[in-house]
Amino acid sequence: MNLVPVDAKQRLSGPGLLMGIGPITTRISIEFPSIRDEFLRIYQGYPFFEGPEIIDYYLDVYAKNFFRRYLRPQVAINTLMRDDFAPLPESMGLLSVEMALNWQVAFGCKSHILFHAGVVEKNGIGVIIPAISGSGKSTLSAGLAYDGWRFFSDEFGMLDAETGALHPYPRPVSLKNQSIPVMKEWLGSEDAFSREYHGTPKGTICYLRPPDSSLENMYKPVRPRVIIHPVYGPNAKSEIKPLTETMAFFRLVRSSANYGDIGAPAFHALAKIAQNCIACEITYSSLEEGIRLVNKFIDENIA
Amino acid sequence: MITQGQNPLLQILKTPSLMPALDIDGWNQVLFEAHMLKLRGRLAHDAEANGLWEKLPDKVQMILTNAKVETTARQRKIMWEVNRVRRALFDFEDKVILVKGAAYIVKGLTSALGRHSVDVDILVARKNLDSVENHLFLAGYGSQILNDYDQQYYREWAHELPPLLHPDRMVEVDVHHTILQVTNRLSPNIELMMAAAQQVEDGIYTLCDEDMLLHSIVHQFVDGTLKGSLRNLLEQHDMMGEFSADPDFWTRFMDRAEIVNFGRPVFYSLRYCQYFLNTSIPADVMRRAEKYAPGAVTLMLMDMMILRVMLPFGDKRSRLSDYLATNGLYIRSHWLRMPPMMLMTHLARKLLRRITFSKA
Amino acid sequence: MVVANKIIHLNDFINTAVFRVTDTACFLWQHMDDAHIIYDERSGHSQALNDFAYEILDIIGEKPCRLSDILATLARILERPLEEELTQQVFQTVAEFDKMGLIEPVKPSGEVSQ
Repeated sequence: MNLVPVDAKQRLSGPGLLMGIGPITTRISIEFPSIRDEFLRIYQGYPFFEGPEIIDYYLDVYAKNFFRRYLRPQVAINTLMRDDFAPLPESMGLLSVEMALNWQVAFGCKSHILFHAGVVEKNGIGVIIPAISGSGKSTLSAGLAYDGWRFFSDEFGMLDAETGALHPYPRPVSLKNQSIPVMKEWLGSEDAFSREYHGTPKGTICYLRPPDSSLENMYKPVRPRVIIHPVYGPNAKSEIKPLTETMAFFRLVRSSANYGDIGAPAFHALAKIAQNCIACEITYSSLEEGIRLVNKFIDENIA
Repeated sequence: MITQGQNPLLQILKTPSLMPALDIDGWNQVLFEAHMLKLRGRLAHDAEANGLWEKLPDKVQMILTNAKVETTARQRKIMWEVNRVRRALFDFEDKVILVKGAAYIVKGLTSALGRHSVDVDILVARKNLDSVENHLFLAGYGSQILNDYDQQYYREWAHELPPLLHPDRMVEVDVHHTILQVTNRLSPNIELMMAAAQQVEDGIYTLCDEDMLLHSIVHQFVDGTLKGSLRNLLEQHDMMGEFSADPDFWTRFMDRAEIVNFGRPVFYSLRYCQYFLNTSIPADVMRRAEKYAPGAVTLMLMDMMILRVMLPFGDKRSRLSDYLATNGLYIRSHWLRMPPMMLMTHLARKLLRRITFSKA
Repeated sequence: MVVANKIIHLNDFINTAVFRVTDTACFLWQHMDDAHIIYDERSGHSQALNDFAYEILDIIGEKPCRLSDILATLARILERPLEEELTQQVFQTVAEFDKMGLIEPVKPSGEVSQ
């Protein structure tokens, strides 16, 4: 079922490459060879299908004209979903791809409840890490992933409202600014990282591949048992603050892009999670400390 | 069996039971076109209503679930907005008539099933515009920011207030006082239609059946742009099927079309509904409508244009020919809408604004 | 000037209108450890109600009533006259319910709002 790399490259430059991540199948084509190379490097080992497959989303990365292809290279994106992206220079092409893939899921997915959250799993225990951008959830999720936890996502928690199970959607982790050296030190090697993109609207960005074992198990769901809200601060005092059911519930609602659309089933599903999970907020000043608090909270509260 | 050489989406819309016959490539084509035409919600509904859901591939179920949830959510938002408009108009005494999608939803019409709707459109007497606007402002609605030229255009020439939005909900509410722009050569007799409006529930009115169908036809063939408006044709097809259960409907409808001078667009609607969707229309009704057909050359051109714009081509990027075809029709409906002199000024300003925005 | 008028207008309205719950069947409930969470199927809104607000919604849900009726019922339940602060809280809660659409005003003749 999986394509060999040479075929993947050929499909990507021509009729479109079929890529499956968790429940989502996307057909991607990229006109710029440099962006193709970066894409294939960071997505090496991801499921690329021979086909035919039923396609969820189409992504076209192209140049609007000769000028934009060769003279002042600039990336145009077609998601077929009324996106509004400002075009980026070719050198930041991978960012455009990642933003577009995010957009398609955030805007189009209503079959699963989406959380703006990291999700990891160990020993059959699913952990949801919801947070606003910049709170450290991506770093914490990535850190846990490279500390023995199975990585589901750093951006999109996906919950099946009917079964109550979390489903993996393990895209590359998007790290920003200070998180980049932290994670490079945590892993001890730079192999799993993309190159660094400087001068983006959000500063410096770098992508990190999830561990191979996480990718290999990307179709195995898990029940959520723990909710952890991370609050990172360089001078923060380490603390674990338990949350009431109501607080946990509303924070989940607020972190969900499609709660409102899904309606009553989402109401019941999130209430159930709030009632059956343990929930807390952790404050910490280093990745190591954050991970220690996560483990401590779970060990002390789950038999 | 899916017939080769005929558009599969059209076939599926006419005969939902064909769905299980689609292979993977067929599904990709159907789902893609349905996405572009905003008809996925309709497919989802048809699959469920015909007991076909379980026969669909899992992935198709997932994609159609996305569509179903989205259209249901939008309809809920619209119905709630109607609720809030009613609340805002609590002490307003005159008729408030729902039109277009919101009306279909409130009446539970076939045309509402799986329908993608976005705004709330209400129709009030022209003398009440200010009062209605004030009630809505008092309730927290705000006007979309428009430059002075557009504000003036809306109030003097168009048939609605500039769109209103409540910041809590961000659902657009359009308040109309007629259903065609005032400058249109075929200005309808709006008082007739308002008088014939029927109460649905709790002070909410909708147009009577024949006026509702007429409005959809006029909106598509005279007022709006025609590109990708298969779903509007579909809604007319649905209404014809549902309303003709009443044996007097067709006569009332054609009488009405003649009184308000809409013979030509009605002719187009009947013709293209029949052609694309096999709508069953009594022969004598067709004959009566044919009196309003254009000359042979115009009709041929119209047929050609309609054929090319009703269904998108396979390619997802628009081609020059598409662009020309749709722009031909846009200019056509503007020509019907405003006196020629105003048209040039208006189009020039619109073009200028588009250029300015794309520089930003 | 317009804003001040708006506020006065609203105050009078809350004080005098008859309110009712349209259809309790549209409300889904989840009772948490520290609050009642209501989901209104018509609007898609979720809200946390403390015991106090829950009680007030219950009173209105029973049968259409005015603010004064609610205050009287509460006074009966608490077996004492209500302090100014409490009365204010009831007023705010009713205004909030109206704003969220959980309750709606009824026309004096008994018809629902237009």
